[in-house]
Amino acid sequence: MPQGVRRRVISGAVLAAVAAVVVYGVRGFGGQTSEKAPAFREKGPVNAPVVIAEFSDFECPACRAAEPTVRQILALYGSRVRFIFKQFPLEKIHPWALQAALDAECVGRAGKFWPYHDLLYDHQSDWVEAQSPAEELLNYARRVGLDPAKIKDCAAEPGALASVNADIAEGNSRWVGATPTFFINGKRFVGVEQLAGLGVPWIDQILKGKK
Amino acid sequence: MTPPVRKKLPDAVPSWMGLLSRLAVGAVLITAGTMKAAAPAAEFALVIQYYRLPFLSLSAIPGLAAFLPWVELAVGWCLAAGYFTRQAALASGLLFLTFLCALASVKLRGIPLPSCGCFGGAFHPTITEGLVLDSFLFGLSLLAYRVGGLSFSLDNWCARPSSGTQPRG
Repeated sequence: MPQGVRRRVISGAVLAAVAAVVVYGVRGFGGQTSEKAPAFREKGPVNAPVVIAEFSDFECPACRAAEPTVRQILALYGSRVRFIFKQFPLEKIHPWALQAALDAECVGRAGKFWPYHDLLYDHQSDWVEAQSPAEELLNYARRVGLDPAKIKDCAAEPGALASVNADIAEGNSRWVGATPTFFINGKRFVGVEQLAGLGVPWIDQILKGKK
Repeated sequence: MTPPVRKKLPDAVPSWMGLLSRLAVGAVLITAGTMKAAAPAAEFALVIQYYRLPFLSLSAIPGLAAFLPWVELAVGWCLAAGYFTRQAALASGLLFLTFLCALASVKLRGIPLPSCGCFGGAFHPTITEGLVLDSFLFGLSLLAYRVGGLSFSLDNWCARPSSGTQPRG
């Protein structure tokens, strides 16, 4: 092999190796991938063949927009799907998202997570644009039959924050960069379009036993 | 008396400008490519979706999102190292021209994008900032194409005869 060609091949190989090392160095070696959450944030059979984990933010309009699709999927696939909600409040752009997440944790511990979850998304613009969103969030706790004062006290305790922070840390380690992000049996779909256009066929493939 | 030789453009531009151009374009492409290639492709796919490009179907976007960052990386590293410099500079010019068309189309259609998504999750330039940056980088790519391969390049090293080898001719 002529020397010039040999040098070209060696240079190309070294450049490719350097590029790959840098990319995989930045990417890291993967984060936590277990789809675990407090039991009150999970619904569907434990042994369901399809597990959907959603990293979501109660104040995020795209998460609200995804809600009808999520509900349709859960209604369509029924007991074949287990759904897990993960808290991922984007505080920098949604100032009340963390408070909503904390209140939801406490409402969940009192056994009313899913009705509260649905209320917060169905009335998102109402409480986000209210004069006092914090008070409005507590009003929704009252609407699901809970004592707002107890929810307020619970949300101020470190336990609620620790639970939300654990989800945020997990999301960060899994490179969740936008909400809503869905993991369907580990495969990622970001936003409602990917969920509806690519996620649903993926669920069908799983159920047909192809994956 | 010898008639004055009319200098071509490549000779008129100092070679250090070509070197700086390809290093600058290479650094930007390496940064952008690394940040996007390291992140999950679905994240970058979401950015591409936001552009609402009519010729791109939803099913084609994940493939493009997985592939494009590695093209940026390949072109960026080639430019930075001066490896197939002219071809890499040409490719980077085409890349930036494509990005400019996509950004301009978003701007003209009034699609409200908070960020151009050029650097994945690392930096968040607006569409206007993206247009300015890509125009500048397109210009630098042209400069690198003209004079970028003259110094501190692997191209020179590959073309140079090794010590002890007699040049032919």
